[in-house]
Amino acid sequence: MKKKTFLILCAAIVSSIAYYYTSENEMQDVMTMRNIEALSEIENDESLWEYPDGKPNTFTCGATTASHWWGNSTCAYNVIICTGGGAGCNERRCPEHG
Amino acid sequence: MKQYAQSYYLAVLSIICIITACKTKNVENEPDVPIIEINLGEITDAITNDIVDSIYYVGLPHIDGNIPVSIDKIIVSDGLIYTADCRHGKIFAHEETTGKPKFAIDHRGAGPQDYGEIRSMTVNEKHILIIDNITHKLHFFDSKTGNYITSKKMPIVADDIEVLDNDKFIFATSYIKGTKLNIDQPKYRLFVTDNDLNIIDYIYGLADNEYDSVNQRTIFSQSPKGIIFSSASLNGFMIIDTADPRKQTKIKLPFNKSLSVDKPIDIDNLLQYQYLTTAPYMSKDNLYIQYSTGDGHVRQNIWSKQFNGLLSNSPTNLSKAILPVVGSTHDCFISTIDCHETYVAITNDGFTKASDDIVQILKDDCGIALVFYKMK
Repeated sequence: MKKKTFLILCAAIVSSIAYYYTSENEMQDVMTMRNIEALSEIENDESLWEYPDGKPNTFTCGATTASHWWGNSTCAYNVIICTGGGAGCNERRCPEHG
Repeated sequence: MKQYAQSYYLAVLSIICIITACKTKNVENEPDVPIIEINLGEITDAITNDIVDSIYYVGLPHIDGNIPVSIDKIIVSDGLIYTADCRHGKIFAHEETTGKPKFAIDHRGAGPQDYGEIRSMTVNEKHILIIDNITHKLHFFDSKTGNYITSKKMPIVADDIEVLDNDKFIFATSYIKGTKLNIDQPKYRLFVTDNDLNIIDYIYGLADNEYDSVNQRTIFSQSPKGIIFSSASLNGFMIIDTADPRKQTKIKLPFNKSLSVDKPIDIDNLLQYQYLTTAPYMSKDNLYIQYSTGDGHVRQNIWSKQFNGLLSNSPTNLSKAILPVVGSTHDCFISTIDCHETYVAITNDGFTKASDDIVQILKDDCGIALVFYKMK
């Protein structure tokens, strides 16, 4: 009986620890998403977004910025371009290259 | 007997507790991928000129007053050059050898033969295929005439497309934290479909808490060895066999501080990490890569298999210096010159000159020029 109780207790402890660590990030993500959703609900979706159906795509500007045209440096500014398929997006253009 | 039954049930209960506490992940038989690591060290005793055989220009005159403003994809196929300006919703087709205009697709709109956007595109023998995530359709246009053919309902939101053998397609989707897609789709990076867009395979699942920190302008590029599939989170890129998309090779890049899908990074901190910023291009045994160095810069270089490292342009011999690459064929990298001022500046520094008719196109601001680097 004691052995069985011990086994049950061990299983419960292991699963609790696993659940805690795996759900912690989930909670943060859930809260982040809830914040985003709450903001859009409160403020009226369409007024919050440049593109209400937009999906944000983040990528590097990439325009050549080397002091000489043959140099290999490019603009490192990360832009956000909105395309379809999402639930709201605001663009962020490169301040130098558009 | 009763004791054994009780022990059995205890064991099952324990296993169930452990399994249900674990994070769910969409991992289904991910392909077993061989890995090749390449050296990103800079080669100092060779320059890009050493791997470029020759340069030639192809002028692309305007088509009905339209000129590509930003080039997102270039595909050379069956004697035609297809140039996609996705941002402005247009695709141009010119003859490969002469640059003679063939047609332009400019159908952004709400009509029955229109598209809401060009998210990305590709070309097969018969069709130009356009991903439109606004209407959730894949649009088919005739690859020789540019005429509208049909549209098919997309089962997913996709960021890029390429063509596989046997009329199949492969789509790629990236997932940025905080982004909601307006189609409920399983969270995979790659989707393989038949010609009717029925999904027949899913590759590289992501767990609920896994995201990309950053996209790329293009996710696929074509190469002689297969389809290049790239993601900033991959620490390299994959080469996909077009006959069997589960047959892949990973080219691993020696990034010390790379991005990880389980720890997405805020956009303003990305440059502290090393990652590819666009899909690499391959021509013969050379790669064009553009990547964040992790110290606030983004670089572009040619990696050469011959020299096993990165080559740079030499300021003392700029005749074949490599401009930013926007596409490739099996033996050429392709760059663009979109204004006469740029052409004058680079040729004054020693870059190979174009013929008078191409210079005139640039001077009259009625077209662009493509620069083809034929690789050794």
